[in-house]
Amino acid sequence: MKRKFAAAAALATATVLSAAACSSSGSSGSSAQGALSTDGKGKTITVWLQQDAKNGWDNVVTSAVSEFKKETGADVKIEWQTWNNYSTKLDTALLSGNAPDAVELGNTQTAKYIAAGSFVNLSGVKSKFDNSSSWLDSLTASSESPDGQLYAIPYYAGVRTLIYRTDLFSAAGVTTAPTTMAELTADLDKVEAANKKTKNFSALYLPGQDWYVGTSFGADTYGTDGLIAKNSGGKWTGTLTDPNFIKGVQTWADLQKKYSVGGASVNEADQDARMAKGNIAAIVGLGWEAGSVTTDNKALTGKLAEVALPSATGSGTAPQMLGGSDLAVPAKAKNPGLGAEFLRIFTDTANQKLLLAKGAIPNNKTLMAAFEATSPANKAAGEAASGKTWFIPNSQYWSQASDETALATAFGAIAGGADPTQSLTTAQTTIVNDLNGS
Amino acid sequence: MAATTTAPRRSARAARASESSQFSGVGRSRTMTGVWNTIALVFAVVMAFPIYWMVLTAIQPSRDVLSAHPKFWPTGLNFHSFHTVTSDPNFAPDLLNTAIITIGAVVLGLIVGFLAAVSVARFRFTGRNPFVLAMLIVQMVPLIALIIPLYIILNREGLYDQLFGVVLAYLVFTIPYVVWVLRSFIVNIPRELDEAAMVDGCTRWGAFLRVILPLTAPGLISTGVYCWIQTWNEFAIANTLLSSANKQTSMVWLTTYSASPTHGADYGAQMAGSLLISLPVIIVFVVFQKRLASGLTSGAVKG
Amino acid sequence: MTVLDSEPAATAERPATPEAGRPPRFARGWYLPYALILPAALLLIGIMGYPLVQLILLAFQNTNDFLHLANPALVKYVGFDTFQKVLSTPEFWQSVERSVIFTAEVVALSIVIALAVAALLSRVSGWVRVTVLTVLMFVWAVPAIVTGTLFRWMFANSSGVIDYICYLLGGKGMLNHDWFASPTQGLYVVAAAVVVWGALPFLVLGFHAAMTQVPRELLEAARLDGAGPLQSFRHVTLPVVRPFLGIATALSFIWDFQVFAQIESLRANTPEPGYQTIGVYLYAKGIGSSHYSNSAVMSIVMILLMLTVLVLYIRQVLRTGEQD
Repeated sequence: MKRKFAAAAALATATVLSAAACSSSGSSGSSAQGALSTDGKGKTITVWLQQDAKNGWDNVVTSAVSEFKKETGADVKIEWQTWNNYSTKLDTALLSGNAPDAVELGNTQTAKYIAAGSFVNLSGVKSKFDNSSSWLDSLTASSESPDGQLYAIPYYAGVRTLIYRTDLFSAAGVTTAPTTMAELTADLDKVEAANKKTKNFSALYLPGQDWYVGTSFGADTYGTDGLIAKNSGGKWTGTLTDPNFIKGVQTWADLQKKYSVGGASVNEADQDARMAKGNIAAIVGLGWEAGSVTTDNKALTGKLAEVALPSATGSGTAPQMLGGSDLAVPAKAKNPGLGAEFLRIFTDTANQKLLLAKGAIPNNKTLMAAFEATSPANKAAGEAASGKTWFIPNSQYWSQASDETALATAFGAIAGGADPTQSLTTAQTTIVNDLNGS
Repeated sequence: MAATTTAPRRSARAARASESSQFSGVGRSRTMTGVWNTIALVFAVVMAFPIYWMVLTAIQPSRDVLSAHPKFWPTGLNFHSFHTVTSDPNFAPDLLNTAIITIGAVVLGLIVGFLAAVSVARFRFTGRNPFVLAMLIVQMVPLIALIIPLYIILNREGLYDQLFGVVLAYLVFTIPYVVWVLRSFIVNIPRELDEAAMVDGCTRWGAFLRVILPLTAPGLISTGVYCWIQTWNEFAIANTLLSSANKQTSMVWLTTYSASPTHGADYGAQMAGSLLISLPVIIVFVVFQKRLASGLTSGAVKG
Repeated sequence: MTVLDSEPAATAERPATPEAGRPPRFARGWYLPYALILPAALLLIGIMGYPLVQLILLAFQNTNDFLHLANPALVKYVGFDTFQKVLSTPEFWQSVERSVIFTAEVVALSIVIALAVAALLSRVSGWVRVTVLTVLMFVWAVPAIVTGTLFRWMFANSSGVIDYICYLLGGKGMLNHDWFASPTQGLYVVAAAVVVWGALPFLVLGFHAAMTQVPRELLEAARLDGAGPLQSFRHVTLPVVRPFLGIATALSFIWDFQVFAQIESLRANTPEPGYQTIGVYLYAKGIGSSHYSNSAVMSIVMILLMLTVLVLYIRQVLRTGEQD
């Protein structure tokens, strides 16, 4: 299996190299494989970015676009994307002649395209990207092929923290932020008691299908190595049914049942909108979600705070998934050199500084201190990101539609009262089958 | 099904007129009619309720939408949900796309289908019967089963994410339907009429365009309307073959909108959006309802 | 007159043998009929025939991930391996079973309710009939996606109106009942309601139209003979309606077996495995997780499963045409 993988990757690299050599666009100096180009006079490049940037750090995009124009003379057309069905959209775009010149994609999605040779190899220009030597480990892992060639650039990371209503907490008599699980449950009890009269009130809203959070609780008791599945000698075996993992999941299920109202069969997509309605005291969400809540409900501005979710095993923080996005240049892009140059500018130190000011975790360790210093909320996120984090099995066969849905369904069933071991066994069968390439 | 079209129009109308008298007559007690009326009205209320709820949710102020005890009557009129929806940058483009695709598929289907229908209705030739049978069979193949190869093929031909690709895909159900229904229309136009026209100096083509086409107009309208509704409401193919947010159809737009983090819980907006994208079909339905009702029993194959 | 015959009824005076009445074949314009059907034939071969061929080819390949799609050189023909793999996956058969049960439930409910309502319509006052038919027209116009979205909202477990109505009717614990937590409930109650709601207009209108063909005299005679409503329905109405009943049942099966849009919108684009009838399942496996060849096998099985009903339907249509 590993040999097939390596062979496929080698084939992919070779294909990419030869394809790029054949498809060079002539006039400019960008014909060299994986080079940066600044010759963009009169050209327009197309870049696919997720809506998150538009809603969260629009200024970073604007700054990068104008810097790029000054430097290369090329315009940038940003096509905003949504995560819904994004994978399918990428599949076809990367195969067709209509590939954009740069794409953002989730760090859980890169392995598939790297293995298929859909991206330009950027190993040769890695050093030109700011802070590339101190890129966050797990983001780097998702940007590289198994044999260490660089095919994507880390963009930003995201980690979940506990976002809570300071006004509701203090009204219930909670004076300090919880640092252990025991404190958290005590606080939630107080908040729940103080809000008994509010209809559909959730002290802690935990959507049942939010597998990211459910798995975090599992990782809390199981550990972060070989989480979900582990690879030994090329064969994957599932670890979701390990008793240590189940223990954490049970904690999550208990919290869900006790403090969360009405979210057992939904996912976290609309939890911000729900929190904005006012009857939720806490959620576990990504950094930008707090901003989303206050945008929906201006009255909540200044009333939200974040703290790293405490571990249920007594000390420290519960391991969160280090999610995030990477950026890549499609092999079939019309202006790969310009695309790569845009990415270089987009992720340079100046723009990363703007990014971290808006609450997204920067892509490197050097700027982490600056990130934590910007606000207490970011301190919590920085803490969670610097602590132990977990990631999905980094395999080209991991798919959102099959494997993430399997996990979401399993956790949704558990939130609805099903037996954790049974539900997770079903999910595990699907995942292991997928990972082993069947 | 063919039974109703071949019967002359007169008796159909007479049948409808006698409906009310057909069933009210000797021995019909008023209380029984009252009971049946009540049951029928209850059925009508139950069936109409979801539509009522959709409209109500769309015009209610948002605090009422998410209250734990929903109100059955509007407490106030508030069109802010409609504003939310129409200010979505993809709403109008997607609506336009749906219109373009629908018109394209319907017009092309009508033209190609009409020509083929004339052929099978007016000529006898080898292969005619298999062709007509094929028109029936083709409508029965589940399109969902063909989505994978359609996706791969259109992608290869560079028609992925193109409106034209979707129009082509939709021809798979518009053409056969048009051929199937118009065939019986044209068969009922007396051959003598086009023969007379040809005696008067028309070419065969002239006879088709000047004699058959005008007389087929009612059939063209009802099949056109039917195809309009099918293509406007279609989802699976549009979802697979169109990916850019501003190239999608309204049906795909609605599902993306309803699953997005920003609007996933905004049911007022979702209902407003639902209402707006159903409106064109509802209007077409209301305007052409008589034709549809008769077209239904004379060869309707797709639901 | 057979459905496929093009001689109109008015030409009954023509000789009985079809040969003698055939119009002369113009030596010059012999190509005309073929030219007229050419666009249709070409388009259909291209848009349906070609994909069908591709489907069959895919089913014999190993194109089960993006890697193979992106690198056609890696694609191999593996004989019946893919078939074997798919047909031995319990998940697949669960999906088939789910589809069969769901379709049977929905078709039965739709037909029975439609028949009952159509029979009802023949006994109500004129204005009530018009009201019911008008409501049904509006219902028929609503797109499937809108229906799914609408019912997802109505059955939502917070602020959903169905929960509230149940609560008002006495179910105290129903206020936050999650209809979608258990796929059994979500699929066989809610999704079934969605499909039946959308299917009723066509069926009621069709049955109603068919029932107007029932001769008034027969009904009166039956009534005079002392037959109750149920008996006259069974012995007088039903035989007249039987042809349309056959067609309607076959069509309902064909449409309901393919259900896709309603379930997708009911579950916000990510239907859980418990909701995956065969159409949804093959889409999730094919487009969703890129198992193209597996999905092709499933599509072929789906077509084959529908084949029996298709054949019956086609035979029924041809036979109905012959009854004219």
